[in-house]
Order: sequence, then C-alpha cells, then structure tokens
Amino acid sequence: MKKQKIYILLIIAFGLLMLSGCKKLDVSEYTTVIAMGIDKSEKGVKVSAQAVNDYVLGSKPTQSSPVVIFSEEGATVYDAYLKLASFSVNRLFIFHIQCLVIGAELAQEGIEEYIEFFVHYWETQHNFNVVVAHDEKAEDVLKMRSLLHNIPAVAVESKLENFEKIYGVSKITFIDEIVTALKLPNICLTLSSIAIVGDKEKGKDNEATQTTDPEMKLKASTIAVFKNDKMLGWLSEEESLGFRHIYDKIEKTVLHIEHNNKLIYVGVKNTSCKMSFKLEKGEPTIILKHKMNVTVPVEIAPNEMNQIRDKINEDLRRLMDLAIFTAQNKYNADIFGFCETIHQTNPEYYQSIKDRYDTVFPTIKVRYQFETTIDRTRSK
Amino acid sequence: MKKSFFQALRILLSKPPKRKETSENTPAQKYIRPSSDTEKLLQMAEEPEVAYLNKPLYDSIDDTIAYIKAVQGNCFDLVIRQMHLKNAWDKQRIAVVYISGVSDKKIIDESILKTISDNYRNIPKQDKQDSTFDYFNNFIMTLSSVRNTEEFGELFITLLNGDVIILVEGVKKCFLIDAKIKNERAIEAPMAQVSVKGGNEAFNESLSTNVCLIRRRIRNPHFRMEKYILGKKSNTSVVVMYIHGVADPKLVKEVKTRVEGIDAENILDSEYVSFYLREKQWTMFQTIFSTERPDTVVASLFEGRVAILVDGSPFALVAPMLFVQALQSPEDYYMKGYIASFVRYTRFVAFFVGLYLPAIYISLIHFHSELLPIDLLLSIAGQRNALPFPGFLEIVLIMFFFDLLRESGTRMPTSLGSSLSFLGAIIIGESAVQAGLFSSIIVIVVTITAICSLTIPDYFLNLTLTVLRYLFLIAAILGGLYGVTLASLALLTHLCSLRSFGFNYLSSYAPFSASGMEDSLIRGKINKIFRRNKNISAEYPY
Repeated sequence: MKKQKIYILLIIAFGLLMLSGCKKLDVSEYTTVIAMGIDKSEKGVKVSAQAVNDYVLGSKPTQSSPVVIFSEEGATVYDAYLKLASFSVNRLFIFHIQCLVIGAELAQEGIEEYIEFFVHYWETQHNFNVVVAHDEKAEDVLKMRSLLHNIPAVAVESKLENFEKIYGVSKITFIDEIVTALKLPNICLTLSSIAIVGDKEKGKDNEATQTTDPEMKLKASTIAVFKNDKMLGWLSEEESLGFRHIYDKIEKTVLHIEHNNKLIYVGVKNTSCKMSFKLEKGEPTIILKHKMNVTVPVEIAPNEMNQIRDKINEDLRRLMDLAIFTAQNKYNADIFGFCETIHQTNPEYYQSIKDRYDTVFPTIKVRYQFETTIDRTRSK
Repeated sequence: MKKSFFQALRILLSKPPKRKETSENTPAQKYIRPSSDTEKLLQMAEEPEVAYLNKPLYDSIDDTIAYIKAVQGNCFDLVIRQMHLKNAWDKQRIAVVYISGVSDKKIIDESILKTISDNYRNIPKQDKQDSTFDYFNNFIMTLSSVRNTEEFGELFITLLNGDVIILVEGVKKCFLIDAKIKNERAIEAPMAQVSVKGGNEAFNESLSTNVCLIRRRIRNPHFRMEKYILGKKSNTSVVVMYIHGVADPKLVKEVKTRVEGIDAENILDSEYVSFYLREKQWTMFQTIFSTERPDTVVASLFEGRVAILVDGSPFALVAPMLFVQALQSPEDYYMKGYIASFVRYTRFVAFFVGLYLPAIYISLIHFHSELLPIDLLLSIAGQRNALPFPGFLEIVLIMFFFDLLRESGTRMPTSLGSSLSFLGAIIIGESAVQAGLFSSIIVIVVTITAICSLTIPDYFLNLTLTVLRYLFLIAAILGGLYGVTLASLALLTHLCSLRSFGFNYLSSYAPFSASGMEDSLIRGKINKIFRRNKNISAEYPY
C-alpha cells in the first residue's frame, strides 16, 4: 500500500511539472531587440529594430558592431514587425527594449494607432522610454553608434535619464502615460526628444567610436508637444525647463540672478509644484504653489535674504511664464494638466467648459506662490 | 539461428541447479581433535551458532577447553596453559586461556601468574572450609579486576575482548581478568569538524578511550553509562550515556527500548546502530546526529540528550536530532555571540544558495529571462552563443563532473591528491570553456554552489544537498521557477513530517517556540542556551 502511494505521488508530481505549460526559449535561442523605431512610409509604417549581435558580446573581442538594425515596411506595426524575421537568424524578442523612437514625420501624423501595438503585445513590458526623434527619422537615430556604451540604445536611454536628473529638461515617459494622455480628453501629451548633432552618415561607422571628437553625437533634446496624438511642435530649452518646473519634480537644475552687477548661478534642488484652481470673479485661475531648495554661492547678509529670494523667484517666474505663454498661445495645448485640476476642484465648472476647452484654455490666468528655501550660502 | 538464440536465452534465465549435500560439502570435521569422548565432541561442534551463549561451564577443565577449541576452530593465537599448583594440602589444576593478539602477555606473566603462584604457595595452614571456588576467589586471586562467570557466552565475549580466563578444575565457574592490550590510533584532530579555539580532540575507534574522553569532561555522579552488547555475530559493545536528572526520563526510556530491541547480525559501525534506532521514515536527512568531537557530545548531554557510543566507530551518535544542528558548529560556542550569529547567518545563506543556485540559474536563463537586467542578460547570451549543448544538459554534465571530482579527490592517493584539488577543478573548467564546450558562467555557478555547500559543518547534510540539488535542477528544467517552488514545497512538507525520537525535525521553526530560537539562527548568550526549558528538554511528545 505504501509503495502504491509513493507511485501515485510521483505521477502527480511529474504531471504537475509537465502540465504547467512552461515552455520558453533559452537565452541564446532568441535575438534580443533593445530599441525599436517607427517611421512613416508609403505602405503605412516602417518599423526598425536594433538587435543585439550575441556573437560579438562573447568573450572574444571583435571589431564588428554589437548591434544590427533591421527595417521593414508594413501596413501596420505588427505586420512590419513579423516581416523583420526575414532578416534575423533567431526569433526576435522585444521584451527587453530600452527605448522606442518615433520619427518626427510620423509624430506629426498621429501616433495612436502605432503605439497601441506596444501596449497590447504580450511580449513587451511597460517600462521603456518613448522619445521622438528631433527632426529625424527613427531609423537614422537607431543607426548611430555611441562612444559611451557598446550598445547605442543603452547609451541613449542613459543620456536621457542623466539629462533629466542633472538639468531637468528631458522627461522619461513610459508607455502607460501615453495611453492615459491619449485617452483623457483635453490633456496633451509631451515627450522628450533625441537629436543627432553632426554628420549622420559618419555616425554609422566604427570610426565614430574611435576618436575623441566624433563627427556625430546623440543629444537629449527638448520636449515635443502633442495634441490629440499629433505633434504640434517643440518647446525651446527655457520653455521646457519652465514646463518641467510646473509639471514634474526636478532633482537638480539652475537659475540665474544678478547680484552686485554680476550674474551668478543658483543651484536648485528638489522642486515640487502643486496646482489648485479658483474661480476669481468668474475667471478661471490656477494657483501654482512651488517649493524648492536653493543654494546661493555668494555671501549674503541676513537682511538681503528676502531680496535674493525675490530675484530667484523672478527668474523662475519668467521661465514658467514663457512655458505657459507658448502652451496657451502658440500651441493651445494643455500640457500641464490644468483641466485635471479644474475637474478635481470644481467638477461642475469643468463640465460646463469641457466641450469648449480650446477657447477657455488660453484665458486661464495663473498666479504663483513660491516657497523658496535658501539652504546654504557661501561664507567666507 | 532462432532456435539457438532461444536456447541460449533459456539457459541464461534458468536457475542454477541446487547444490546437493555430498560428503565434500558438509562442514569440515577435521578441526576436532580426537579425544576420549569423540561422540560428545562431535555433538558439541554441530550445535547451532549461538548455543554457546547460555551454556553452563563444564566441571572438568579438559571438557571446557575442548569446547572452546571446538567452537573457535584451530585458532593459532589461542593460548592455553595448564598448570598444577601445589601447596600444603593438595595439588590443584588450573588452566590459563587467552588470545595472544588482544591480551597483554606482560600483564599475564608478571601480574597474574605471579600473583597466583605466590599466593598459592604462601597460604598458611588454616582450615579450608570454603568451597574450592571461594577459596580461590578470596585467597588466591587477589587481583583487582577479577570477575567470574558460569556461562560460555560471557566467557567467549570476554576472551575475545582481550581478557584472560582462569579455569579451575572441579568448579563450574571461571575467572575473568582484564589484560587488554591497547592497540589503537592515537587521539588525533577531527577530520570533518575542526575548531580553531576549542579543543581538537576526536574520538578514535576504541570504546574505552572514547568513554574516557567523555568522562574527563563530565564529573557528575549522576552521569549514567550503560553498556549493551549488540549483534549476534559481532558482539559489539554499545554504550548509552545520559545525565540522570537532566535528560527527560521518557526520552531515555525510549532510547533504551530501541537499543535493546536491536536484533541485528552484526554491528560494525555507528551507522548500523543508527539504522535500527531511527524512525522508519524514508528520508535523505539524518535524524540521528553523529559527531566525532567529545565536546559536542558533552554539550548535548548537558542539554538533555542521550548519546550512544559504538565500539569500533569514531563517530558518536546523539539522539534526538533537530535540523538546525546540522548548521551549528562547535566553533560557534567559543566566540562572541554577535560574531557567531553573523557566521551562522552566512551558513544559512550558504545552505540555500548551495541548494537553489543551479536550479535558479537554469530557470532564469531558460524560462524567465525577462527577470534579468539587460547587462547580465546580454553578457550571458554572448557567452552561450555557439555552444554545443543546450542549457540544461550543460549544467547537468558539469555538476556531475564536479561531483566526480569531489569523489575521486577523497580516494586519490596522497601523492596525486593535491593536484586534483578544488583549484584543479576550476582550471579544468576553464579549459573546457576555452575548448568551447561550456560557458564561463556555468563554471562560476557550479563552483559557487560547491563552495557554499562545503560551508555546512555537518558533512552528511552536504551529501544530502548533493542529491537534492539534482532534484531541484530537474524540477527547474521541467517547470522553471514554478517547478522550483513546487519542489521547495515538497521538501518543506517532507522536512516538517520528519520526526527524530518523537521530536519534530524542524523543531524551533515549525512549531515555533521563541525560547528555542536562541540557539538556532542566532547564537544567544551562553547562560541562556543551557536553560532547562528548551525544546529538547521539554516534555517528550509521546
């Protein structure tokens, strides 16, 4: 009886393991794609994939490039993606993609139908960065080699992250944010961009990685403004900075003030901004409460503190004004999320203006409240 | 063609013919020396094997000696010396019987025979009212370690242990005198559980030395040692030790019942005893702790456990055993508590790493490659690119190869042994990588696993892990991390179901007791470890 029990147990155990349906590919049996790009083409869309060449990454150092770019046209993204298999040795596996580059032309035509593939495909995860190529094709961006990392996509991703942390202009956008922005009415999407500085043709060669001053450099660039999934244009660097002050928390950035007839820099840390809405005399007003910690590198006397603080706030206000002015007048796109704040504080008012938001948005007035804390000043 | 094949098959599968009882096949009778009573002797020699145990001695020395020789055959080292002793009244015949290999001839000649001959001659004229035996016992055999017996069983066992037998004519008893030669290995350092700060004595094969090592550390009159002779054919001495008043009486009774119930043919090693003592459950884990250090045994005795020593085995058994003991080392108790706790943590981690690492490696690269960060993934993919073996075959092969290396390392003669050490294994692994057979990362994985599993103080758990690793690996190959989880669940359930002398095997963890945790993962203060109400000295579960 005991032996019978053991046999039954073994059969059940084996069955549990075999029936679990866990059948996947080995790491060396698929080709990892680490960046993808989508472009406009006559047939519909052109998908490019930056695939890792495993053979090069092994212990034997070679001269060949560690990545290969495949591009293929198709009516939809999925169609083009499957056709890419005609180029590759193994099955392509897009789980590990670090960034998705959208070509500038395609962005101007509308990205919703193409983004949808990456949201719903079961082999992708939602933690890759989506960027727009700054007046370039996505394919060209992917073809550029980088000095700073063997694999260009990782370099691109790191550049964007770095720029976001140090200066605060770029923005890491995951695909969830895009889906939310495209679904909600009235709110407008913003994406970071990546630009090619220098000669495109020379950037593809190996020589681009062999000199100290390569002919081509990839640069994290300013923010693109979308409305209803079409790109309207770019913000300048100052406007991008102002936009990020309002929209996001910045870790570190710079402001400038004049003190004793000299232009000095002010280091800014840990900003945060809260929005609230009020109807003042029938006019919609947004109140922005902005907090930050600054470091001033000059010696200031205690009675001058308020003066310095006001100057800093002035500079910040100038940046924010620029951003809001551009958004309201040039693009008419609510990139800051004002409509959400209005909806949360005063839902009835929001219902009334929801349909004619395009006309209401340029008239929204903004008031500022600054809470600037001067952390440190240099003392002699 | 076909016919001859089937004929051959039939011959192969048929049973061999039974051996008939011819005159050549009966047990040889040529070892029996012809004596006056030949038939009686023939009858003696054909008795069943253990009939000597309860057989009473004969009156006449000649018969006794003839029986001894009949049972033992013509042993060349059996020495029989018959003497006549004369004193004022009469002559008396005695015989001295011993085995020259195990008895010390010097003691016999100088102490025993001298005492006898001196005493016999010098007894003045007094009335001889005692019986012969009492006369001998009280006046002649004035030696210290004299016992007497009436049965052949004890006679043979003590004769074979190294004692001297003195047979007296006309008496049905004999004298047994201790004259053992100590021919044993010196007390050396332990092989497996070496300690830096604590002493480095280990048991050796002789029971008396081992008992002495323990006696030196416990000077408590309540310390009990009870000797059993087990094994129908081997007659091995087994000693059960405990401290009366510290050990739970029910536990002691249970151990003694089990030891008395051992019905074995031979007991050659403590493992044989452990086989009979432990619960009949199918497991790969040890449920009786073996150790070769006397200080471990003494500490266990003070905690309330029962220890068992087997003659001929340098390993002592301690009952009951909990799982945490396999991860405790005697060195822990000779260091400060914090450091010892840290070292114990590393051992626990090493246990899990040694068990899980190959399985997790294979499930990560084969099934769940999304869990790896991109740099690690690309590095592994680069190394595994153009290899001939698929992932699971590769790791099974290299694990098997490392196990072979370990096994051959223990058997290698010393002149070659150093060249196939652990480093040699890594170098061989590197050459295999260079040859393009394996990837480098798998050599690292297997090396780390082997190192981690060698950290475990108990050598037998190491061997268990070697087997369990393969099972986990198979589970991982079939089902990825899901398979590993199922296997872990199975192992955990199995461990929880184990009992060691009635105590749960995972005692401080599974039925959680906070007071018992002081000596498991952390090493608490010394004064708290030996308190009475710990998990072992607690009430016996049955």
